[in-house]
Amino acid sequence: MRIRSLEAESFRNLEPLRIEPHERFNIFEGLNGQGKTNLLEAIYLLGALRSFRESKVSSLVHHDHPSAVVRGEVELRGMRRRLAVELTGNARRAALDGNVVSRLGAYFGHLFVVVFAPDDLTLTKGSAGGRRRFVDRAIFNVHPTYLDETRDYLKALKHRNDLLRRPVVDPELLATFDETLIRHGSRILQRRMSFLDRFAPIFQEVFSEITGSDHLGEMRYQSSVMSGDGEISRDLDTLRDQFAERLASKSRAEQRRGYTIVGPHADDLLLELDGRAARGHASQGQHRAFALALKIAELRTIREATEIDPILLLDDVSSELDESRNHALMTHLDQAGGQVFVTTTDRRWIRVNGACRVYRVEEGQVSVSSG
Amino acid sequence: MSLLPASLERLIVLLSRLPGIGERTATRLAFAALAEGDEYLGDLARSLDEATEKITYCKSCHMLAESELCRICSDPGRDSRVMCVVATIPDVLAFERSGAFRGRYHVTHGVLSPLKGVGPSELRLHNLRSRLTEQGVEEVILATPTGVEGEATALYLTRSLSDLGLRVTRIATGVPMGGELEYVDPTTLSRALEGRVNV
Repeated sequence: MRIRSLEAESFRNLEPLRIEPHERFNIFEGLNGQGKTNLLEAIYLLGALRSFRESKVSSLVHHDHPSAVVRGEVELRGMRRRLAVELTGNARRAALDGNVVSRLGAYFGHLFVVVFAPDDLTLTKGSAGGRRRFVDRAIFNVHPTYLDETRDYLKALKHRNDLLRRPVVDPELLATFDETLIRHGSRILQRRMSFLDRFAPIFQEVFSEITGSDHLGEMRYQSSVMSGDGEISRDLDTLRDQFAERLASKSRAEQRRGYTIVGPHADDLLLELDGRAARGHASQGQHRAFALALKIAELRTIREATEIDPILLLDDVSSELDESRNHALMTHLDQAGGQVFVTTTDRRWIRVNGACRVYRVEEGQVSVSSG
Repeated sequence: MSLLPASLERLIVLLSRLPGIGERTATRLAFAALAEGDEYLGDLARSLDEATEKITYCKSCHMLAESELCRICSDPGRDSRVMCVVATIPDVLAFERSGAFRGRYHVTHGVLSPLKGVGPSELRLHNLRSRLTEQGVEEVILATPTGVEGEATALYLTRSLSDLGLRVTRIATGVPMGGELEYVDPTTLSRALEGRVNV
């Protein structure tokens, strides 16, 4: 997969942009606050129709303009397709080969992007929500329908929480939304489990590559749907039964608290270093090794599942990694193939052997660097 | 706008309250109606009057009607053994256009949505049970929409009608007829796969 051309207008602080990226490495060098990350964000938007930062769509539009446009030509297995996203206020409009797509779900699957940003370095230290989001985004890259499924689950969850907050509730109505929650939630759980079954061994392998086999890095899915060490079933019907059983056993606690405590929204991905929780036991450097391994494993999983090299966006990560981990990242990038977009304040950090094109980013202006 | 006579202005404002009609379209419609002449305007006014006066909801199925019962409920030729539960009146029209259904309907006028404060008592369900038992219905077809709320409504009805010993069915979801699979959105396609049937 490769972006052949990229255009952006009125996107954040970027000046009207038109570049023809290199098929391997594209390095964007510039001081902080010049627009490097915005450029990666524009690419991400083209693939995922949203920001990878926690931003509202409306904040992506330059404040002096009513709307922003990002366009790109993407080549996949010899086929070229034109993608375009237009943002007006909080509304998004996507077009494929010049035709506006009426259901956004139909747009996905033409541009796979994986982003690695400084925020990801705290994945193991941060909240469970961050780790759930990591898993969900990775699944979405392989199964575009997952987006609809998570949206439906959240809807069911909100309705049910609304009922739980009421002092008196029709038991038949609550039972209906119990079942609605179970139906949608089981689907989410099944997707996560089948993703992690594939992902966990790859992660373990990458982690040992990065740390030179000194340590064992493992992951375990901790689900609110299971008590203790119970194993979540891979079979959807059994999974529903497990969900229903757990929900029933927690019903009193849920009514007391007024919200749903059982379901994929309350789960976590535990990361363990040599059998102990990384959260409490890993050093700063080991936390970064975890983050790095998670991201590289995500890329490999997508490649194995789809036989496509996703586009990698690296947002100023090298400066945050120590020498040996940066080396591990660069080695991986050289081996992996695929198109990479890297931002950095100093291109000397980016020691890749592959062919590259260097751009300068200054006050929103992106230009090919001569040197 | 201030150049226009007040009566015309009022007409424009009222028209622009309708869905899909902005002020510009409303203005165009109002001028077009005027240009049609007095006879047309009189007819239009009379039909609006008549609508206010005569249109009501069917006491039985809650479809639009001009008397106690709608035309479907008062038609002896319909099959009383099957009843189709739908969320809106346009859904009835859609089924009627298909010509595939000869039973009776029940319009709920909405779907369950706790967040919007719509519970079972906000839907027109009060007479559903009595209709089912009194009219000798053998099968209820749940045809509420396929979103989270529509599915929950179907689920609620399935649960609350389970003691009546009727056959309760849910309409199928899946691939549109004559469509190329390539263009079916992935979510619909995966549901179609789940709901596959033996041949």
